Amino acid sequence: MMGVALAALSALLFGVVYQCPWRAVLLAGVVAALGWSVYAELGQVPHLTVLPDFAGALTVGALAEVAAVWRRQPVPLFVVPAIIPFVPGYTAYQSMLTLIRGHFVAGLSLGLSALVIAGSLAVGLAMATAVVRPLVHRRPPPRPPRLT
Amino acid sequence: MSTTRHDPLPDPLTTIAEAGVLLLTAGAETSRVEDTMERLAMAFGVPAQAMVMPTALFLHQAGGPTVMQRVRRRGNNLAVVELVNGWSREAAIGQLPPAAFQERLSSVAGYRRYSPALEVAAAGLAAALLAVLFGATWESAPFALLSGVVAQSVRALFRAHGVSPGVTDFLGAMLACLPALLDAGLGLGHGGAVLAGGLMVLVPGVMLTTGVRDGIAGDLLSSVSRLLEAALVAAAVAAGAALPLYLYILSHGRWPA
Repeated sequence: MMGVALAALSALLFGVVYQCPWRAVLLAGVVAALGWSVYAELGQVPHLTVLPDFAGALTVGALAEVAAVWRRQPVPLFVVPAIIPFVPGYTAYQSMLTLIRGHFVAGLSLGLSALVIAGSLAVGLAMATAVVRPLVHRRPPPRPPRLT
Repeated sequence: MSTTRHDPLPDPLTTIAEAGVLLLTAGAETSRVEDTMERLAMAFGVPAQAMVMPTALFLHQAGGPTVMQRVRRRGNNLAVVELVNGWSREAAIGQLPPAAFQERLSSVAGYRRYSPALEVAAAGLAAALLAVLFGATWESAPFALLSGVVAQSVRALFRAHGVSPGVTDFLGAMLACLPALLDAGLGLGHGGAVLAGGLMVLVPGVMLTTGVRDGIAGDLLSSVSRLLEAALVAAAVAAGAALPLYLYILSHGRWPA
C-alpha cells in the first residue's frame, strides 16, 4: 500500500518535471498506482524473476493507451511519468557500487539483471501498444494518399 | 533553413515543417511527427510526404519544393507535444486556418507549463519518495530531496548554457552524489537508496519510451538511435556518480554495504 502511494506520487511529480498538463499528470498518477499494485501483488509470488516488472509495464502501457484515447491526448503524457518508478535504478546503483569495489563478476551480474528488467519493461510497453492500440482505435484513421 | 533554388517557398510548407520541428525537439515519436505533418499538408492543400529522423526532417510536396530542417537539440517538454498535437487536430479538420496555426506555433517556442522552480521542487520530492521506495528511512529522505534538487538544477542550468548533454548528465550525477555521501558520512546508513533516488531524476524517461514506441511503429533508425542515446546518458550518469563514490570509499569513508 505504501509502495503504491510512493510510486503514484513520484509519477505525479515526474509529470510536472516533464511539463505534462495537470489533468494528464493526475491520470498518469492513477495509471502508475494501478500498474504498481499489479507489480507489488505479483512480487509476493516467489520465483517469478522479471514477470512482475513485465506485468506492471504491460498494465501501465495498456491503461495509458486507453487514457490517451479517452482524453484525446498523446500517449507519452501518461506512459512516461507512470513508468519511471519501475526503472531499476537501485539495481543499477548496486551494480555500479559492486564494480567500483572491484567485484567485477558480481557487478556484471547485477548490471545484467538491471538490463533484463529494463528490457522486460520495454517488452511490456511494446506489447501493450501493439495489442491494445488496435482494440481501442476501432477504425484506423485514414492515411493521406501516397504521392509520387 | 530551406533548400529550394527556384521560386520562393510557399508558406504552408514552412509552417508545417516548423510544427514538425517543435514536436520533434519536444520529444514526440517519429510516427507522430510524420503523421501530423502529412495531415497538416493535406488540410492546407499542399499534399506532401514527410520523412523524420531524430536529427532532421524533410517535407516534400508532390512536384514542388522540399523543405529540410536540421534538429540539433532534443528535450523532454511534453507540454509542447500536447499543444502542437491539439492544434494540428483542429487544423486537420479545417477549424484552424494556416495563418492562425502559424501564429500559435510562434507563441509556443520556449513554452513551459511549470516554472523552473516548481520543476526543481518536483524533482526533489520525487527523488525523496523514490529513495524511500528503494528502502531509505524518512530520516534519510531530506538528503535524497537535496540530491534530486541538485541533479535537476544542474541539468537545467547547464542545458540553458548549451553544455553538451553527456557532460551535463555526468556533472549532474557527480554533484547529486554529494548529499548521499553526506548521509553516509553522518552514519544514517542509507546512502545507497539516497543516491539511487537522486539519480532517478536524470533517467532519460522520454527518450526510452519514445525509442520503444518508435520500434513498434517500425521507425527502426529512430528507435535504435534513441535507445542508444538513452544508454549513453545512463552510462554518463553511472560514471558521474561512480567517481566521487569511488574516491570516498577509497578514503575509507563509511558506506553501507
